[in-house]
Amino acid sequence: MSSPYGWLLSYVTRRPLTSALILVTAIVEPVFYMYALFLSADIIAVLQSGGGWDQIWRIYVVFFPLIVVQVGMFFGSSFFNEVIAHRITTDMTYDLFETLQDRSLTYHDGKDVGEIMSRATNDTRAVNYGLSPGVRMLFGSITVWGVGFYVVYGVEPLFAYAMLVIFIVYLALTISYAKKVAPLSKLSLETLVDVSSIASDSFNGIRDLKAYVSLSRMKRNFAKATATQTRVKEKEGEVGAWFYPDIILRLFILLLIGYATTLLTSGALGIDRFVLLLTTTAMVVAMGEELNWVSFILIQSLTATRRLHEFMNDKDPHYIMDGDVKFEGMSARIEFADVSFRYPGTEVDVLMDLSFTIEDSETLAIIGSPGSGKSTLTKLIQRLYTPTSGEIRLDGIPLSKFENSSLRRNIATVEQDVHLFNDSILENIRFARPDTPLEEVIEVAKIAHAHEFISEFPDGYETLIGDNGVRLSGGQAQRVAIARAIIVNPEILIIDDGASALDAKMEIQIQEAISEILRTRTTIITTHRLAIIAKADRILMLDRGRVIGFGTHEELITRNIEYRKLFEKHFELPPLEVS
Amino acid sequence: MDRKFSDRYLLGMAWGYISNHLRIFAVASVALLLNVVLSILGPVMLNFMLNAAETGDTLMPYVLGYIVFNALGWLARVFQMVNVTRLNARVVKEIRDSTFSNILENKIPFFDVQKSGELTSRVVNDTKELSELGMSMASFITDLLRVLLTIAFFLYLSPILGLFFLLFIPVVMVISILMSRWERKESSVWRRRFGEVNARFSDIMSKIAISKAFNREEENLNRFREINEATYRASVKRGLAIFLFWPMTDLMLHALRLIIIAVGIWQISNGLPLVNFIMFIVLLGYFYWPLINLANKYNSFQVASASLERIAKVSEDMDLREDDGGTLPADSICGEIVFRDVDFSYDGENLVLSDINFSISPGERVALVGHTGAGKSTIASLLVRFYEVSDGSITVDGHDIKDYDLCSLRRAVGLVSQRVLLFKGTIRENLLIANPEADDARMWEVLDMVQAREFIELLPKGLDSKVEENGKNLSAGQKQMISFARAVLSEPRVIVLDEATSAVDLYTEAKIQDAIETLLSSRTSISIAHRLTTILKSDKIIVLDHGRIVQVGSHEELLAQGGMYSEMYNLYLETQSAKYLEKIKY
Repeated sequence: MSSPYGWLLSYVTRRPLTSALILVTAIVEPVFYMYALFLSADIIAVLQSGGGWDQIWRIYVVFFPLIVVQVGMFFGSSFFNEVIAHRITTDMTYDLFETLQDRSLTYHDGKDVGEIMSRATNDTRAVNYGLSPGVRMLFGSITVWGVGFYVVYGVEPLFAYAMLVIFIVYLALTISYAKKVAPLSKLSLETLVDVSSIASDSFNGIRDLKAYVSLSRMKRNFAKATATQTRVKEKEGEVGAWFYPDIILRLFILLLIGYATTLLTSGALGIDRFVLLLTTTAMVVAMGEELNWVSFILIQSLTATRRLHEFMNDKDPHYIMDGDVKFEGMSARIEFADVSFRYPGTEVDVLMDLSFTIEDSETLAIIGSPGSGKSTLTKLIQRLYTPTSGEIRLDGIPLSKFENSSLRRNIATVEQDVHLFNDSILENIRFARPDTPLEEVIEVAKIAHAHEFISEFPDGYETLIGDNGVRLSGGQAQRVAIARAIIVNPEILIIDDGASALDAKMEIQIQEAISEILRTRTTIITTHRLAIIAKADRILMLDRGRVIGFGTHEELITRNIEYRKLFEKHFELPPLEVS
Repeated sequence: MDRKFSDRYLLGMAWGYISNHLRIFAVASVALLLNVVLSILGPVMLNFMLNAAETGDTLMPYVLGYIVFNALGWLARVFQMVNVTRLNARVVKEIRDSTFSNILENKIPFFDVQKSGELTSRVVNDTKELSELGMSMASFITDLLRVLLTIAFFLYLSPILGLFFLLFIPVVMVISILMSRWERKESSVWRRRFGEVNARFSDIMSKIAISKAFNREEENLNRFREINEATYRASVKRGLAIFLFWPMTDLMLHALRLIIIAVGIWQISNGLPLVNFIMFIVLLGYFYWPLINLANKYNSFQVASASLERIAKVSEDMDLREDDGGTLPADSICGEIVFRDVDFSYDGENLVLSDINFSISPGERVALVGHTGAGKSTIASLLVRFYEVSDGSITVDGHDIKDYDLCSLRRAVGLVSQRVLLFKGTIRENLLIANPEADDARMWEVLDMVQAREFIELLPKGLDSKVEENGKNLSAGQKQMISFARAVLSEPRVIVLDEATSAVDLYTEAKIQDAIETLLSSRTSISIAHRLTTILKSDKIIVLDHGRIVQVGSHEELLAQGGMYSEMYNLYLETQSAKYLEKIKY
């Protein structure tokens, strides 16, 4: 997989026979097509010499098998070419998906989904187009030029050699020209992405836009984006229209025909040969235009291949290596030892020298202002990121020694911004265990107090959510997310501010329902609900990545001033103990 | 099918955009005509050339004419292409701009039903379809003229042979139209499948953390393979439709050639000059390929007209527009709000609010309380006229809100909603949305107030730091702080806080209490919050249950009354109290 083209070729050579056959027919088929022109010329020759129908009939009957073979070959090569091209890009898309999915979260943080999708869609389409009809048409064009060369050679060898030179110059110019146009068409695609992102942003945020009376601002931004796109488009069209290699070819052919007419009048050239010259050169000119288009898509396709190859071989320095310890029958005791973390590419530590221990089956509440590092801490436990320094241990064994899948199978999360997938509610709940029967899913949904509202949808558990289905309210989405986590039956449960969109009544219900589950599991919960905080076995207070308090509620309420501030409004606090 | 827009309307709409660029259109049309005429003049010269060769006349003027006409034809083609693409690009820009603007002017209930993805597709993809319409229109005319001129030339050369060409036209047209219709069908299936693959791809990649956390990679891969392979199968079918079409056209061309040769030989024996026959052989392609293109264009026009209709449906329908008939300026309202017998229903059937009656004096602080789904947010939406009341009236300073200029009303009534949406751009741009005139000093002052200075200062570029798509680089609390800052910046006369601080932790909320105070103190305010402690200071609390007002009064009055409020408050208090801790501690 060293060179991009070798990589592309490795897909092609998986079907060596079909590929070879397509290539051969692609070259041979145009010869048959052009043979019809020769036959037409022969008929003219017969007519000129005053030959009769029986003479012509002999030529005429050759036509029929010729047509059948040509049309058959044309269909065979073009259709199977298309099939194989799609086979290749389908495999490529799959490989791309697999590779990307395997990359670390750090890698994905640095990548725009838009960019990934541009690789997955535009680039694979470009490769596809290059393979079919690009390559086939390239060979077809070259064959047409070859036949043209043969015909011209018959008229005047000197012109044939000139044609050869022109062909090379033409090809070189065309390629350099296509290289000039290709970036423009890429730019035009990119500017269109900007247009589309402003549009979708505005439609999503329409309520805010209307509430702040700022429609005109967005309209201005949009008009600016479309203006840029228009400029690129116009430029692209202009460059495309002035395809100067074309004029060179045309002038040459005109010169050739001018010369041929003098031969015609002098009688050195028969009218049948002259007609053959006219029809074949007309095809060469047509192929010239086609060659322009073909080289354009081939250039794009090669660029796309290079980009895809580069993308597939992107370095992922933060790839999380797999260990071999399985997390089975162990105690879920989590230890942080001097853990610091900094997001790659940033300059500030999000977590600094964290050291604390959560015992098996304990509940840890983490509190801190937005951006204090709460969510990051939970992601470190799931091993979505690895600490910059220090170590996290589970049952005394460093996290890095564990098999990732085994580890994650035993950890479930309810995240802060609930992300559900564009699928049915059923599939979303049994996300981690797709084989779970419906009855069990309903059980779990009941625990999460989601069953009631799900049953109210006409399609029940089959209701699609997201773009094509209903939009769940914040509270509903959160309850689905809770069900999704409970179904895992995890040893460690992480709830990242998971209850913020629920009102007090709902939260108490869920709280009661899952308290049974919580009791037997290690739970880490980031929240600002005082009741949950106070009831936790241990509380960790974070401020800008540092621990500013750790202990039980009773300890903190009597010793920690910051902690007391939280409760002051609502509780009669015991006296502050000065230690 | 119920069609709201006739073909005539759609055509008028398309022409309306084109007519804004009459000059380019005229130049493009002239170039186009020249191109066609010149391209047929070349072969005419060729005919003279051959005749002259036969009779031994001088060839030079014809050869020269042949070369000059060909060269000019090339130039005309360049001009045609330049101008047609320019026209296309500008027309599409205008259609895009006005479609986008028009959609934005539609009322909120429209957006409740329409998915933003689909609307974006109207603005981006359907308009792209139209850009090809301009191109197609130009080549349609070129092709038509070319076919007509060639036929005329043919009829002049030999009426009988020309007639055979004429007879062949309907055959080619019917076969081509049927074939390309089949291709279109398969293509649309394939495009849908391809879209599904892309949607899945981006869905998974944008939420990759969840898949990793839930160990879902393998299952994802299996499911992805399924739809990926389904797309492959669809593309094979589409390939069959496309690649049967072209051999088919070859076959028809061969057939035409054979017929022409057969008929030609018969005609030559009846005295047709050989040169004329030769012109038929030479010009076969001149006639045939434009004809095939014409058949193809027929279908692409249908596609374009469908696109135009889809665009018209979301952007030209005046029934969808927000009613902006009011003229009263709301800049200096005092903020007296009265709801009188207000009923409201989203779907015209189920009442979400019924018999809502209350009044708020200028400067008063009102809280709306109730369970999820009681109709609190709906009241807020009605006040800024996102929806129109089904019955009853809402007045501000004694005037019905419908009488106010809509923009002026919304500028006067600030709504900070639960769902924070930040736009892709910088933090500064996101703040300027609320108040385009705010300078840096003012922004920092406000950010200070809402406790957002600290985290913004930590960002690499401060106010100019990028907010990514959906603000994914900020935490939920940070987003709410920015949204809150927006509200403060906009300095409204009336403020509505709909769960404005739900994602901010208690600690931070306590810290931004000052900001809330400033925001609420000098103006009429309505706040909605789950956290009852934040509304204790309200002058008046309105308790809603299933769309009806069940209690109104101050906190003390309501507590004394008993009923729903005291239940809710006690429950809330309990969850926050030491007693509750005892209860749930195991």
